Amino acid sequence: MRKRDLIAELELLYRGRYRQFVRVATAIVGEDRAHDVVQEAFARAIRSLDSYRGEGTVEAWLWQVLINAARAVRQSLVATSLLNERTEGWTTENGHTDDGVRAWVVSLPERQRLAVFLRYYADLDYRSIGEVLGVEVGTVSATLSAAHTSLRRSLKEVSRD
Amino acid sequence: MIDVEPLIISGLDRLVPLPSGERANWQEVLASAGVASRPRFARKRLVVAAACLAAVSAIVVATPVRAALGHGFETFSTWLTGSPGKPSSPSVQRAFDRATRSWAGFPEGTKLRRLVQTRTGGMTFTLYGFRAAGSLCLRLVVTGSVSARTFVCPPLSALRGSNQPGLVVAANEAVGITRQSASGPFSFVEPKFVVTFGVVADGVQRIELGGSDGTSTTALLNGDTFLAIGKGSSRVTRAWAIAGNRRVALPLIAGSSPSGLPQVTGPQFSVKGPATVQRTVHGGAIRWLARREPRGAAVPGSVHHIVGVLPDVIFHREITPDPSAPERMVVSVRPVGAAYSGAHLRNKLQVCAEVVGGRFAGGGGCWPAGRLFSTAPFSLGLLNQPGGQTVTIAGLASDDVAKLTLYLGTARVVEVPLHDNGYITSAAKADYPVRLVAYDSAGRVIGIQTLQESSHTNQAFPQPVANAQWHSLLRTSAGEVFRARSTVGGTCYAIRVGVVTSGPTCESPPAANELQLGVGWSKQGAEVTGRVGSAVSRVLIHLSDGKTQTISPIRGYILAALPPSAATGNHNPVRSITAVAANGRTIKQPGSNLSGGSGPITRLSPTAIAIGSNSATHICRVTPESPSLRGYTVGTHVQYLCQNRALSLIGRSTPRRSANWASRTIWAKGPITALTPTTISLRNTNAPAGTSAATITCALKEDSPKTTNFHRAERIQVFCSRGRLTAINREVP
Repeated sequence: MRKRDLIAELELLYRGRYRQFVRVATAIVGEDRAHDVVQEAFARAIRSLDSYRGEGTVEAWLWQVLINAARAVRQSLVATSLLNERTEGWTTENGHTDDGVRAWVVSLPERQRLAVFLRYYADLDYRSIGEVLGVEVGTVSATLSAAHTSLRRSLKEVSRD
Repeated sequence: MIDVEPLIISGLDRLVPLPSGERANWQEVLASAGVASRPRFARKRLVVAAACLAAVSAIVVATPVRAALGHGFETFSTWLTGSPGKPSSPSVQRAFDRATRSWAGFPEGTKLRRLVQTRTGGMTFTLYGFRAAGSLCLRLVVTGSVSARTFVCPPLSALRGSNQPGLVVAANEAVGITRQSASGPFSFVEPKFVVTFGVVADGVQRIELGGSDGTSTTALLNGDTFLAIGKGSSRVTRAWAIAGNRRVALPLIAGSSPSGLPQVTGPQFSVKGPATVQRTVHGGAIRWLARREPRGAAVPGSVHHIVGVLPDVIFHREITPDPSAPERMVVSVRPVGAAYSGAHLRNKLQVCAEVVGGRFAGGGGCWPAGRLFSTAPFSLGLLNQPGGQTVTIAGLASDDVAKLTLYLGTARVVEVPLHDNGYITSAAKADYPVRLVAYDSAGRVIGIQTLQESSHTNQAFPQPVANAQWHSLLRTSAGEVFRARSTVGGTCYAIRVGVVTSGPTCESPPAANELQLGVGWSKQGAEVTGRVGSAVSRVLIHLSDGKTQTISPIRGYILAALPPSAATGNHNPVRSITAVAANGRTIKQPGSNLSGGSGPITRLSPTAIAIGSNSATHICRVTPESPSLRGYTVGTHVQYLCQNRALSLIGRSTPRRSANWASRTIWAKGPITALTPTTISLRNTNAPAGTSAATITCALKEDSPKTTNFHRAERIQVFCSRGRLTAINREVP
């Protein structure tokens, strides 16, 4: 694919999926920096078009770039960004506080957490998530399954709060 | 097994709602990448620039300045009634005037004021300001080697009636990026500068700021406005207004540091306002939206790119929650996204509400249509304004809501504009906790949501303290353990393996016989990390390949790299973990003591019950504390909870509902507060006090279990499905 075509495809991605990119970035680095991370990720992708070998989709490659950019900015601040932003006071329909989901997200190992974000915030399918994280589809399934299991276990703590 | 996906979807949606696309700017990407932009986007860039400028205008009226300190914000004469600063330059004003002719700008003819300007590090920092629609608005513009814009509109309610001689409008706004920095195991990018600004009462002579690095600086003060530029390595954590020999601390939320919580300085208030729902509303609705009536106005094409109006939008209208304010809200109905593909929804629609234009542009969210008012007769979304001091509160209210009132921690009461079922307001975080209360037309309380600053609620979820100093505790071939102080006085730890840091974890220290261990694995290897109790002398890791690895804790921590051969493909290489106490006794990793779900009864005996299918059967013991199983037989479809593997609650359900029972059924427990022939109410200790879910009332229908054996104040647990009691039992300790 020619460079110009790639940039055009990136632009389409940006215009069509900007909000999803910002959403995932928000989950990783917090709301204040999310837009900048997305801008930097796309700029970085354009600057390094040569590194795209056409082995996967452009979107999966871009998600990789974005996650790397976000991790570079604030790799380990998921807990802070989620705990500090906008969500105080929510309750879910089954009477649990969303603090439970928040605590669950915070407690997940990084790969599980990223898989959760890509699945539920970016609406990616398992194959795409696998491409982004560099793992097999079966691993994505196992990773998300493990995340679900940990939430089931955490229901005990949620219910006590 | 519990279907947790609906819980995940709804919980994650509320944690990070789908943001607006307002800031999308492809030209900025191209410029940053060093690629020349294409001419066909030039027009859109102008629109974006105009939209930005739309955020800076209002009418200001000149009045004299009075001098006072500590007499409250009536003394903020130029801000409340006057013209702060100087007129902005003609070019800035002209650009602004063009913007105000757009669809949702500020009133035409309003004047920008230039408040204060300074240069440092090759950059010019200019603070503009104006008053509009019940807010004072400040806009920071940075030009030079780095450009940045920040726009904040704290509510005038934060000024009126306050006895504070100053208001920090924004704290520690990052400008520019200088370098990668680190705090223990956490790496982050340090800004070049952090900017703090605000307004002060007449008579204030100086504003002093205390930094996280122990330094103290004096802000640039010009009239009623202050501005401080600090190094990116330090953060302002305290502020004082000084006049003569008086020195008054200003409320300030310092913002989070790497892995830290916001640090609040200033008064801490208690929750004000009604605490009890007087009438429970079920199934709230917005009829005009359901009927697709053309309320408000058509959504202008100029904002389609902001709210993401796509071809799949079924219906959308622009409403004006506060006719006296410039903000608009776009309400839309659209199909639910792929994220809900696994959820059982009444219909496949969602309702979205997004604030556009005016002072608070850029926030919004979507809710499945059937869940919009599932926990309260109003939905609620929060958006932190830049600078971390102000929050925008917006959402949709059902037709049942006649009035919304915001009760501030300072005891001030703010009537929230509500029009066409939309509402928007804002609050200073220094006034937290705040409580939003909905009233019906008879003046009865029908919904309550209480908002607390995270640092006020962190008792439940301890975190590292702000500016935590992380110390290396131990290092092995597998990685390194770091430790820092916790917000509740204990310690937090984080573990770095390779380039990945897990944590911070701030759980209570394990009990003597407890294991708090986790397993991480990938194609490249695996590791076991965590903490163990003081009685543990060895940890035995039983691997899938049949081998066992023995690890000795170091100062209570376990950090063990497993042999590469243990990482078989992408499967968890650890079969189980046990530990050995100093006295030789074996300790097992405890499992969850609470489980539940729904399904058919497959086996039933006086001492045990099995629920589920052949592929996934859940067996629980039946004990004297278990509910009666009279009337239940093999094949009966039930919802259930088991505690410590003993049945604690069971009720009938239908297979059709089984997929997402958790999202339809409330599990509540607590003392009975009222019991009538038709309803049962209890104080739900599962929900936070003060929220609408804190009191649960279930209707007693023909198919509800009998309640004759229960009495007021007795502690019970129930399933309440769609408002009907479906299961009841005494609370099991």
